[in-house]
Amino acid sequence: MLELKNLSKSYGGLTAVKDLSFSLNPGDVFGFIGSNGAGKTTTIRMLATLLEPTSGTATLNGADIIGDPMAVRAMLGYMPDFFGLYDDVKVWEYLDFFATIYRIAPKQRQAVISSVLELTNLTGKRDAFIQSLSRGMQQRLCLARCLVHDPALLLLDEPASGLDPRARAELKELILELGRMGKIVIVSSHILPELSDFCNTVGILEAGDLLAFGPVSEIVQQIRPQRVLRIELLDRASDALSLLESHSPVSAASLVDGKPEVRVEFSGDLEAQVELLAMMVKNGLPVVSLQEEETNLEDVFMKLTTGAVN
Amino acid sequence: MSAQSWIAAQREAYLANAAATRDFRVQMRGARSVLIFGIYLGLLLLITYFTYSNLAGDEQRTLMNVQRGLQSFRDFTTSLLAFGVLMIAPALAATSIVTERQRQSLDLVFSAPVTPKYYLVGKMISSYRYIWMLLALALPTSAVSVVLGGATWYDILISYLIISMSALVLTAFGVLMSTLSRNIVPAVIYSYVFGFFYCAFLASEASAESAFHYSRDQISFLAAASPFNSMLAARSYTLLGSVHVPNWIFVVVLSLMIAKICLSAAGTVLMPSDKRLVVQTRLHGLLYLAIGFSALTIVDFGGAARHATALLATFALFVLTPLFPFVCCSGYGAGSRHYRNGSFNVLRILDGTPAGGLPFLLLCVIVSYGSYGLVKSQTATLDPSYWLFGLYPLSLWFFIGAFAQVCSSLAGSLQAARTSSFCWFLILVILPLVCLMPFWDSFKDYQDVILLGPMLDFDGKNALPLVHILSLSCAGLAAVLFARLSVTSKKRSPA
Repeated sequence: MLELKNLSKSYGGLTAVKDLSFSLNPGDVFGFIGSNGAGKTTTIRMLATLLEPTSGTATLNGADIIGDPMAVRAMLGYMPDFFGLYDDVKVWEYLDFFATIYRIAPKQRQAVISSVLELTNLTGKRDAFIQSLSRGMQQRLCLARCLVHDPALLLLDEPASGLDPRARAELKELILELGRMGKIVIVSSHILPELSDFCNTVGILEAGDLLAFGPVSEIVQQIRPQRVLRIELLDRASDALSLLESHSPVSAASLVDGKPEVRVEFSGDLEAQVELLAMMVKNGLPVVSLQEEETNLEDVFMKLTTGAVN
Repeated sequence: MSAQSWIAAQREAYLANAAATRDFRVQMRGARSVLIFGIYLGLLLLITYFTYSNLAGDEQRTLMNVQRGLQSFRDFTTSLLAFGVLMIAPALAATSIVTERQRQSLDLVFSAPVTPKYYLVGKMISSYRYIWMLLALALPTSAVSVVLGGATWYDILISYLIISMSALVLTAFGVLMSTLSRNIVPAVIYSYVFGFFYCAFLASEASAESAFHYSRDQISFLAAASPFNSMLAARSYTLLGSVHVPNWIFVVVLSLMIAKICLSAAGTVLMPSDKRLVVQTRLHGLLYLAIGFSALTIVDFGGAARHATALLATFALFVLTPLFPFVCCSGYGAGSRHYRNGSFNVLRILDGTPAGGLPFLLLCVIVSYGSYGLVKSQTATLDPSYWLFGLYPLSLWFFIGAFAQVCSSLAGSLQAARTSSFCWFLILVILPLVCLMPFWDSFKDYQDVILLGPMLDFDGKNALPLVHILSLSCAGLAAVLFARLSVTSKKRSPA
């Protein structure tokens, strides 16, 4: 279990991260959202024990990032947004180096290397030189490096940046698989639709403040307690509007410009929604479709944040 | 840490170091290494051949001429090796960490359970092993001296040991500079500067000895540490009581101490948040200063009692000059440990923060002079003025440390503070001395105008420089106050 307790970081007069507190359980895939300079990388680097917090702390399975950084490091895998790979080094040599520093027994190293290469689909590149790999492959190699010691926590800072759509899809599958394996995965990304696909928890950070934290659906619920329905008609949209305005679960209704369509803010449940549709049909209104307006992570992000940066 | 886990950690760091193994694979890959070693060996053999044929070509050959020729040949080949080491070792080590920093691969390493010591030792082994391979390749050329006469295997092996110890020190300097630098070029330049500085220091010691009373066969352990004196070092010894201790033992200990402190200092740069490492490094530094300056009592400086004080001052200058900008300066840009947290706080003397910098610098001076004085007074009569003259370097370094605080208060970043304080040190302390070098004979006339004057009073006729001590102390105090006021006014003024 990962637990952050009032984690803060200041640089001189600038506070990059303010009193961050939340906890994650094994199997959680957590999406860290925020604009550039929001404090995501600073938080991830503090969790990776590369930066010392100004105040507060975090514990991973009971080990403190300040008090026992070596124990924390043994349990985490960190993939920075930009990482350098060694020239003139082969893929297996690179993994062997990290297996050694993670104290994998020499007899087990080859088996571990083979298994992480298989997991990241790089088995065929075992003897290739790192510089000959494509960007996507290098990204997967870096992920393979993070996995050699079977970590409990994975910190992935912008893992999909610079990847083509296929490589992104592969990476997404891999992250989901790691979550299923019971690892805590923290992913920071700007590509919000992707995060909502594979993260079961998200946190929105702005100027060092955690504005929202929890499952995507819960955050959406918090932001928009009422559902928005869009009702398309063949015609008589204004009749529909006056009828809907008098209906009790409807808190607001408006016409969509240039279309025979009504937008309704609806506080009722699904049964009330069925009743609403039945009432409209009963009143002879030509309803073509009724659908709920989907609120995505991007909308939530735009609504919550103001664009402030540190 | 239990003894067993300590042994396991040492074995891992020195015998099974992952960084060293990875670098070795890269160094030895393909035909490149064979080509480099081939060219190196070919050049050595060519130079040896031409040098020997030149010496052997003397037609008026007497037994003495032949012996002298063989000895010159031996000295030449060893000096060639020493020069090679001086050229290669800093360049190899200087790129070790800075390239990783530029490549941004250090974060990957230090997010793993790796101590700075483990990684730095690995980097050091990578560079040092290369030097050993070059030395081993040169063995046939040195063996010529054994086969033809002029040296024994003992001489050759000891000279190799001395040269390799110099390589160790130069490699440690290189790794330290590589850790401190952000780009390759300054790292290489600083490594060479420190390397030459070290060799010049040992050479100046050797020449000072020859100017006094040492014979060619008997040089002190300090002079023996110079790679260019390695052949003389083989037969030299130091008399400890009634025991003749070979100088190479002192050289090995001295070199290991320098390498250890350089690696520890590099570790504190790589892992600034590791407070325990900072404390350990400072304690080790003080201990090594005490051991080093105590060992200087073995070296007979000769001349007047004040002569010892003058040479001690010079040694302290060599040690403290590169140290003070890193200890006394404060500023932003290299972690919260370097933010200004006061002017003078004795309680922070070991934690590496700026408030403890000035007290630590003064403690270094006290330990250096104190350990020499204490040991010397046990074995011989020490002039009582020694202790009083110790006040002068104390006040001088107080002024220098305080001036570094002024530079820090005016400069925003730590790097700018360090650079400006070091430049001002060169202008105020070193430059006047260099400018007055041509007038060395009438040095006394200028002694009052240069800060180092009273310390370099070789004749020992001057009275205690009380005026200098008082002026420097007052100037230092004023500098501390100025730095404090400057920082306070900056905080008050709107951003």
